[in-house]
Amino acid sequence: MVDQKQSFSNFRTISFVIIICTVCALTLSILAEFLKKPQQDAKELYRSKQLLLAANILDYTGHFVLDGKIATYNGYLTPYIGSSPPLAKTIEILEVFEQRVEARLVDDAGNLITFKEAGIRLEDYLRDHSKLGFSHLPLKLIYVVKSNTPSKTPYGYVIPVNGYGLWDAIYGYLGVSHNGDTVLGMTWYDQKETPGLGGEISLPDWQKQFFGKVIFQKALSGQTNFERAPLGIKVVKTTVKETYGNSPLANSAVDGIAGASITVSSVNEALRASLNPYRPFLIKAHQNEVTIDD
Amino acid sequence: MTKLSLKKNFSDQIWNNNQILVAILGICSALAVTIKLSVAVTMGISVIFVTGFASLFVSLIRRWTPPSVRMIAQLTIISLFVIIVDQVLKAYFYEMSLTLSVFVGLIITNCLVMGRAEAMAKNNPPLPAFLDGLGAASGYALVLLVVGFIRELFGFGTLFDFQVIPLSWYASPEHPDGYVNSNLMALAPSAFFIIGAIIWIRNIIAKEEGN
Repeated sequence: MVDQKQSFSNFRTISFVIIICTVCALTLSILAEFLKKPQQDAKELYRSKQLLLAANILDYTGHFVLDGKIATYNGYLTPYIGSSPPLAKTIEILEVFEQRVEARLVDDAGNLITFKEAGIRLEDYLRDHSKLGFSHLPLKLIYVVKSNTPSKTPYGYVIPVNGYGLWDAIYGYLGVSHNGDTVLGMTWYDQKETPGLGGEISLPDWQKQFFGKVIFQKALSGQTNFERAPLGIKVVKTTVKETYGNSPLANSAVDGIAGASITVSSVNEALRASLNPYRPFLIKAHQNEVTIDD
Repeated sequence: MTKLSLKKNFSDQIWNNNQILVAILGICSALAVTIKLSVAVTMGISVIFVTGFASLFVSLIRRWTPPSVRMIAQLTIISLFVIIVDQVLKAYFYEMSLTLSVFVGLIITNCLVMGRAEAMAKNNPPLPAFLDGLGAASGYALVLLVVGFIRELFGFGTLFDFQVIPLSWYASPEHPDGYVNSNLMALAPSAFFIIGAIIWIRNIIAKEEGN
């Protein structure tokens, strides 16, 4: 070994390092080029799945859902009768997504505009703004989810929400039904919170609690003042039952996660801040003033 | 090099020199990724791939590697394969990569990969080094599988996400004294106890064999 050590001059050592680094870097760049497309596809499929989960069209076990019951896809969703429903296939998920979900824009007055009317390309819009979120823009992104059968009233809306978690930004989808108030589902599809603690926000069991809650907080009288009511779903410290009991506030709250107080307050803040700019639109939706042409 | 001793390069690493059970290396990831069998299998395969090929390439360039930069060179090669695994997972097993991404990155610091490169590959010809790397990682994967099996079965009542323990055995409001999943098994400390127990059993068997 001692002899060997002497036989390596500085020049040889440096050339060795340069060659190793170049070969490794070259291999990785070629690989990255080849895997770019499948990686993007995988990411897109995952996003579509999460959006359908938030809209309660897909359930966490991987089946389609129609009016709260398990369904199958043959051109459109039909209720499934039997005991072992087939799982939704990748291609079916993409087709349902294509068929029922449409990205649109909401202006500050709460009007629904198509991308074409606004003269914006969806790809450009997503590329420019998906990092910082859409709710602060004059034209905010909303996903309109159409009914299973053709209808002028949409089935619901999915609003992208985002905020700052403990480690990094968190991104999610909140699905609300066509009344602009009742939650269809909530998913956090991009988060880097501590696994096992804050990371619980991405788990089905926690996300399922959002179903059926209302985003306009009810007053203690049980009435909702849509103009003034605080918007959002409050993640409480312990359990909803312990915090609010039978109070109407319990309709807008979900159980907290032990050991994740910063993540929990980030979720609260993200929902509040992201939903508020949509208030005029949600009120219109509640008054059944939102229609889409097929 | 006879066939027998080549084979020994591989098989020795599975039991006699198992990296987790004997060398107590790679414990950190073994605690973290054994919660479900599917995750443990993916991690096991990834580590087998990384260790095998990292050992092979470290061995191939051993004559040209200046001793002063050998560790850096080994790390570069290991990272190369880890990034390959990470990128492939992201392309073809996206949801798996979300659970595993942190731990796949940490394969770079998994002592057993570096340990095999440093202790075996840098002084031996490519084939024994490759087999040694494969063997070491297979031993690791095997322990991961056993721990993952126990944890998923008792923690969730499933194997590979398939319900194994009949749902009718579970406690319900009508049968309050039914079966309940063990919450401890879903937490990382349980893997610590299980690995401890496996090491203990291995030591007893090794003692009886006279090793």
